[in-house]
Amino acid sequence: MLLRMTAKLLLTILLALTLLWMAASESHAQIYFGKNKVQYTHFDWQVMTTDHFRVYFYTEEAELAQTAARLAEDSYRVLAARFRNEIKNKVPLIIYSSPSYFSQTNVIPGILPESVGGFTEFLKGRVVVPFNGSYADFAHVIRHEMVHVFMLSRLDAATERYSRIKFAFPPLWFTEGLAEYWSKDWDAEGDMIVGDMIVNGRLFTIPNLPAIRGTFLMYKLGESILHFIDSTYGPDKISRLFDNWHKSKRFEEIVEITLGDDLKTISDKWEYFLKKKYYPQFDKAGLPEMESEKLTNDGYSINAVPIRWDDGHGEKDWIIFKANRMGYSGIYMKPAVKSKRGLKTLLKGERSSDFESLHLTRSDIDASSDGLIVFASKSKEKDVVYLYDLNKRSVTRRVEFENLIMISSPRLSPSGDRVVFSGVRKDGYKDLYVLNLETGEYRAITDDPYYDAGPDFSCDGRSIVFVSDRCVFGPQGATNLYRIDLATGALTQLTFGLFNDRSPDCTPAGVFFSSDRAGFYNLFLLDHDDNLKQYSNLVAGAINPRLSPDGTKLVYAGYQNLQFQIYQMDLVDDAQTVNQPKPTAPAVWVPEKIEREYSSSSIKYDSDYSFDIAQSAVGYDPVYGSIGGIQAAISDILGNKAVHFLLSNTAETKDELLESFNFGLTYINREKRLNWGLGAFHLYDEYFNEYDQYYTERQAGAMLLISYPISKFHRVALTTVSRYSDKRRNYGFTRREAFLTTHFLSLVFDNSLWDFTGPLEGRRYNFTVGVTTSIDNDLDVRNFNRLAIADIRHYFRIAKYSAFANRMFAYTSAGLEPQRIYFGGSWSFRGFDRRHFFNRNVLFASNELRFPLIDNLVIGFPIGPLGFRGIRGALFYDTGSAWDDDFDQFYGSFGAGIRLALGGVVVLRFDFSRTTDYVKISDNTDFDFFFGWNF
Amino acid sequence: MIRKSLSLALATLFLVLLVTGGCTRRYRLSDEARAIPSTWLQHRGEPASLGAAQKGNFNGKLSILWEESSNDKPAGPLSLAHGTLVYAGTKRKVKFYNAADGSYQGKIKVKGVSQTGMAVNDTLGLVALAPPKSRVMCLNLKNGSEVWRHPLRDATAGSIIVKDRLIMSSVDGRVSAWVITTGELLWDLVSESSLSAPPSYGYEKIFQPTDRGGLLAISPDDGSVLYEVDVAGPIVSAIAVSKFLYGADVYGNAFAIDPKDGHVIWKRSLNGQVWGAPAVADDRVIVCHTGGKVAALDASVGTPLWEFEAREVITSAPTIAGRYVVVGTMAGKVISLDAADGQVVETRDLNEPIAIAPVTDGDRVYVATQKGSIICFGENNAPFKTRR
Repeated sequence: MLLRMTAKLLLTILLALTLLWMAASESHAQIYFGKNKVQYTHFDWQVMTTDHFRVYFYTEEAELAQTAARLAEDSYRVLAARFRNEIKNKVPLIIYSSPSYFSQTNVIPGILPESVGGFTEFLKGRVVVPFNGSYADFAHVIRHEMVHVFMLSRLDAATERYSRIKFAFPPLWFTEGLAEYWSKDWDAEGDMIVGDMIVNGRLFTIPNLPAIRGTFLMYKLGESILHFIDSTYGPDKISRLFDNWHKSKRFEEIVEITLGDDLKTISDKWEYFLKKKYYPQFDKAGLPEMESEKLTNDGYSINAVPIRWDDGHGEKDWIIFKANRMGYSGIYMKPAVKSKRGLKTLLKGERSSDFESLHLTRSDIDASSDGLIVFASKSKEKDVVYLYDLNKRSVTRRVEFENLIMISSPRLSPSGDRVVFSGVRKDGYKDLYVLNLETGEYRAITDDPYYDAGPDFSCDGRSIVFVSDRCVFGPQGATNLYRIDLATGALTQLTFGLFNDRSPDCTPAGVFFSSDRAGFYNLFLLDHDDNLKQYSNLVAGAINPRLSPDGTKLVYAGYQNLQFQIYQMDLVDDAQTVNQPKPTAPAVWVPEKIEREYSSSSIKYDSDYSFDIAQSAVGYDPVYGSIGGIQAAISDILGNKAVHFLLSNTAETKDELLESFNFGLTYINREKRLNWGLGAFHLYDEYFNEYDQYYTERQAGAMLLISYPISKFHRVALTTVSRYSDKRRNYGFTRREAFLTTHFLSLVFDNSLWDFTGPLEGRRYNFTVGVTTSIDNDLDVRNFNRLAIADIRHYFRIAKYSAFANRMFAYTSAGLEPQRIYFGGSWSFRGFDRRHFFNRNVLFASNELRFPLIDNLVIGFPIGPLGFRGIRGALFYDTGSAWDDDFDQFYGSFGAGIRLALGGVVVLRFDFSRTTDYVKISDNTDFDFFFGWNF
Repeated sequence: MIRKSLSLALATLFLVLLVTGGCTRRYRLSDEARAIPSTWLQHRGEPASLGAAQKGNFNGKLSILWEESSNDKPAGPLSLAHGTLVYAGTKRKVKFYNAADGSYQGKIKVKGVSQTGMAVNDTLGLVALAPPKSRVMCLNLKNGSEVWRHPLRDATAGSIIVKDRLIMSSVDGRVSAWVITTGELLWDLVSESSLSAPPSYGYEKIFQPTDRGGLLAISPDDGSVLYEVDVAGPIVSAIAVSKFLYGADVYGNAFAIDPKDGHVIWKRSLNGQVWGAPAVADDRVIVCHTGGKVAALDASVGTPLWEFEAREVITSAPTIAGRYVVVGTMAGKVISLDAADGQVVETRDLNEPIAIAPVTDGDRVYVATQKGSIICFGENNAPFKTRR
């Protein structure tokens, strides 16, 4: 029996894997809640083949694809030499001309966070990269992802060469750190992050890196460690690590074999190396918190505008700023001086399709002293410009642009009648545009392949100062300041050198901007006589300077203690004059392209299918025989179309073999906004429920799946299944045959914001109705069954990590064979067993107070530390009832619990509760362990 | 049912054994084979390392004389000894093939991955096993028995035999000498630097490059350091010994050193990492770098003579066979170049990466791919039977 259980278990796991995979990748109709990845845009995909790549692109970005191919081939040669390896098969490289289009990719099923700059998918080795307007960034991301491709290839080769199944898997800090280290030079951003950690005593040592797993901080620290290893242990050692991969099953041991030091020693040496590097710099520079007045404290505040605006209560000096204080981006205001009036939330982003993303780090905001705020936000397919009126406390205007996909950093003209911003067209070029607010017309003021961003009107409104990579060092990643005359289009380069000059602010004193020309990012002024003065000398970084309306203070975003906050400093007269590099000749560089002609007619993309997964499981039982199954999934290279196949057999005797095959075949198409799927199946097995007891059921039929996302948060889903059903009850020997058709229609909404253990803010609902009818005249009742589900969940944020959660659930089913559901247990009615209720009507409410207990817990074990992130507590009260024909009574339960995030999707919940029938409280406390998120 | 299944399993096992029976043969060195002199200088025990066999009739053409599948991946350098090609595999075995016709002669189990290949000295085979086994061992090729063994942490990829002793270096900075026949440790030098390159021998000295870019000249008698010279960046490949000592570092600097006193004669940048030892013949130094270039330098003054760009990663050392240079690329090509002017004589695409330097007896060139194929190139009218 044990063996039979094992075989069943194998098959169950196999089926579960299939369902999980399908749920994760299929049409949204399969998923109860969840946000949507919407295919707003139809892409006409093409393919270009080069020596080592198959480049997938759409028609509008043909020029960009040639540049991508060139960058990819250049990266290939450099990395092949470093890894001492060649990749046999052509690497699929999928290019998107903007991050906005990139977010629609189906290569991976999940929703991509805006911070993802590209990724390498492991199943088919696909590299997916968006263009953000900067060729230097594009080259960096392509090479970063190619490092992953080469690393995988190298590890695959080692696995194959040494015929090993189990190999050490490199930690994420190593894989991402190496991808950063081998894709670009160490830069001011790295200095900002690592320097801040060193001078503030916040460095994560190598053993502690799991605490910042997956963050940008981890990327930079990983890069720093590998930089240190290269310079200290020798330039051959990183490559040598891969040679030695077969020598141990533990990464730590491979490092020790290769470098001669264990990771702890390396970590100590690295920390010492960093202290020697950054401490001397600290001698001359300061920290934002010590040198300036700190205006914000929470989360991540990166962009602020000081304005003089009368709120009618005597408060005149305000700071308008964009921040991520509570896990989503928002626009806030607070007095610029210490005041009783506190922080006001003006607008919450990422909660509705109008403000899907406020582009926290990618776009600045602007405000004027008459109370007008201008900002860009993603709204469904494209970015739009919004005008928010402080006097009315609402958005007063929304401007869409037909040809522009992305918009960033809008700025108002001094007279308030125009807005300048940088916009991205479908071909990926990022240029500057001026919008006339009176006429609603807009025009491009630059039109070329260069990266043009961060514009601001000059004080007289006649010209625009902006950031561009059109300078001579542009291909190496430099950006300098330029001025363009709006009347003549004449272009003047204002700053020079291999530096990153950014975020100009035109003032009567000149142009304030931030730059890494002094090592760390600091604040500079270019006055009207072209004198360059340094206004800050901070050890980590200062960006986004804005002069206060009275011209006496400089507001900026300063980096300290792992976060940006808004600071304010007095303008001093003794700013240090800095030498500008000598002006260089006008740049003549153009993005290089692959030296290959191609014909668009001969390279149209035709669905290129390959296997995603193919596996089988077989078990054998001496009494019941063998049991097993196979599953396979294929999809095209763009992930738009997929076919899933499952085959298993549930026969218990050889006579049943032929009739006991279970199979399912599903085709899913996600190419367009309307996702659809078709499927066919045959299922035969023995089942059990409280009502029918043991029974066998054979079902064969076909299904249609349709899902239409209205926005990222809303969708409508329709499922239709037609099937033949033959149900035989073991007790009573009754048999029912029917041809049934079922229709389900669902309306789903989800804008919830999650913590480690579950949602904290927002709401979710799912309204579903279903009708099953018999198309067989032999059955008396054509109305076979009906059901309706309403599941509504609200999450009310109390504090940063605390929330009150409420769930209302109603379920009813009627007809000849109503669908009864089990109810009870950790995910529904706590205190009751998982199968306590089995009825066709349920009414239920759950209320839970969620609060933090421990944010980070590291327990030392002899084999190494084991860390837990996000230990949360809960107090709950549930009430509800379930019945068939006559309502019985309400029951209730109350209790408390602990939730432990074990990493990834695994959350361990421990609840203890007592039940009540509202007459008395049970004497026994129910203890329940369960894996899964909070509702 | 169970009986049926067991019977089926046994029958299958029997069939598998029957089919693979040839592969299970144990290698035993015969007296006839023992009489055949070894011809490859680098690993048969002669005290010189040139990466070249100038005597012979190899005509540069890459005609395949025979091709065998080893069913194993190469773990260390190939060697030629007693008329056999000695192939150390990752499946913990060393296999022997008749160098003339590729016929399989048998295998010896070594219970680990022999990353040094096998150095053969008369009837003894010497291997060093990679971690976690971490040992050096001597095997009797006549009966396969183990003669002696000692712990050795992560040996570098190659060993030399000087007079009656085996010289090996290891990553932790040790250079050690054992008596071949008894395994007695004669001396053990601990360097301050870690070591990645195997040692070389010539001018009565052992030359050991270091990861710090130095070169140690060591007395083979007592392991004393005769001189130490800082040359360049980390040197991870062996030094070629000829008129001078020739090497290259991972930064791509090739150099020549006077073997008497360590004086640097010349140094030249090749603009690419070098992971394979140079080969020297006819006053030319041939160096390959990972960027895919093969460069010939004047051995006396280091001036470039010619350069060939393969545009494919070359991680192994070049081999000079007669008047020709043979290199293998990681993209799976074998390229034969005229040593005089770098012109391509022939290119053959094996479609399998080549990470181990080809070896030659002067008439034929032997190449092992990372997938485990062994290919012998030479003239079609070579004096032995072709198995293809």
